[in-house]
Amino acid sequence: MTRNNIFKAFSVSMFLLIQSISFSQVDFYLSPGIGVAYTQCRLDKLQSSYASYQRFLDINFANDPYTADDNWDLTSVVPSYSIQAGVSIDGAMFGVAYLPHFLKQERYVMRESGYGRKFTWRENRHDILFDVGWGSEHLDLYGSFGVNLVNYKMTSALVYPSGTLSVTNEFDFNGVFRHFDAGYSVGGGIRIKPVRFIAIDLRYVFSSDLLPGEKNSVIEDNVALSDLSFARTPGTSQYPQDYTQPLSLENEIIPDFRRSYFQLILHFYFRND
Amino acid sequence: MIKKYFSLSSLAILAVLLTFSSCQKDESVLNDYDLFGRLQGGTGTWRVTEIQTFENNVPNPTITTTIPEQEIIHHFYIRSFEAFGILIDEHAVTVYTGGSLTKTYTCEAEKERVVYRDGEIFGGTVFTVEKSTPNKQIWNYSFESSTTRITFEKCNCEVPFVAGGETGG
Repeated sequence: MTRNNIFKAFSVSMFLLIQSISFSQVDFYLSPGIGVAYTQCRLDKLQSSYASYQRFLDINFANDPYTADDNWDLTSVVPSYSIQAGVSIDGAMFGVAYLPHFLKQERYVMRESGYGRKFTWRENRHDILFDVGWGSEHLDLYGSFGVNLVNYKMTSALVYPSGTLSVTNEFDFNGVFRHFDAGYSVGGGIRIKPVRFIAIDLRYVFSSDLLPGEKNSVIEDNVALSDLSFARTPGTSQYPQDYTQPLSLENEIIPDFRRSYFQLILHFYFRND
Repeated sequence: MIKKYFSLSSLAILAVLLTFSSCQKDESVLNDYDLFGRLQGGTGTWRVTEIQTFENNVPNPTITTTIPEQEIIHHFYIRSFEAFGILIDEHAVTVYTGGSLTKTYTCEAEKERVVYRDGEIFGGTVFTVEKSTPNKQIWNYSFESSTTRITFEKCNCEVPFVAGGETGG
């Protein structure tokens, strides 16, 4: 399911919900928001792979010294977006929240000869959460549960001395390696509504890589970060865990990355009461 | 009550607007081949406006720029074929030079890379996407020490008519 489809399903659901409660005695809210998130993730497999690429250069290009960016960041601060909608009745509140996050990191390893490699890591994360809790005119307290859908992408490109980038199939390290994963998300937060059309949301979300019951079950997803282009040399489709080892279907990274966020979001808070 | 209804209806309209604001984005299932939607939009035709070649193994290389004498059009579209009793859609691109059909390829178009495959099981011509906007594409093809940079502009022009032949009754 793509971001667009999630967004459409969410919006249509809200349309139907709004129409169905038009004349009932409930407080309905719809609140798009924007803010910032501090996020943390264990990317140790990527860090290990990046370090192994430098060992590969040490071994194979000993006479061509290199400079390398620091290893992948485990924490980052990123823009945070949110669309939420829900109802509150007699102090209780129920809502649905869609929280997309787009994370990107780039790393260069450049050799003295002018050749090098650029790694670009992208995570497009979509958390869809149900919020349940206590609500009032100026304050909501809620717990959250739901799912996350994540598209991972690692682009590994050769850098020529001219500055040109290449992901062509001339070199097996080049590629666009992808993976899609889904898992459960839990969290909670507090929403302050100081004035009529403004709300401030402080929320914590933990996004797991597993769905409930997935561990050690038939639906457990052990698919690796792969480049499935037909242009690749057969047997080289996995993003390597260890660059010093031969490329193979065993030398791979399964992106079981769990991520947590602290979000501070300013909402435009439309409500009917 | 009426005021409340209009207030809620305006929220409903906003929800619908949000729904359609996400249409026509470069997305596909699992985000693979996410550039193809942009390439095949409109009539799916892109004109080659400039070809640059340079040595990639030196800093600040001398660039040779060529404007094609004949019109070169790349036409991106989805074609279907039947296999094992089911219809399969396939991304395709046909290249026309000077109004004549040059070649048809299957196409893998991602935001970072575009592959033209000419029937190979594994392999194909791989371009690196340097720039991608709704009306302009710049792709690089590098091999050994040479890089060719191709600039396309969306032309929404008519697909050249290629006359067919018939030998049977």
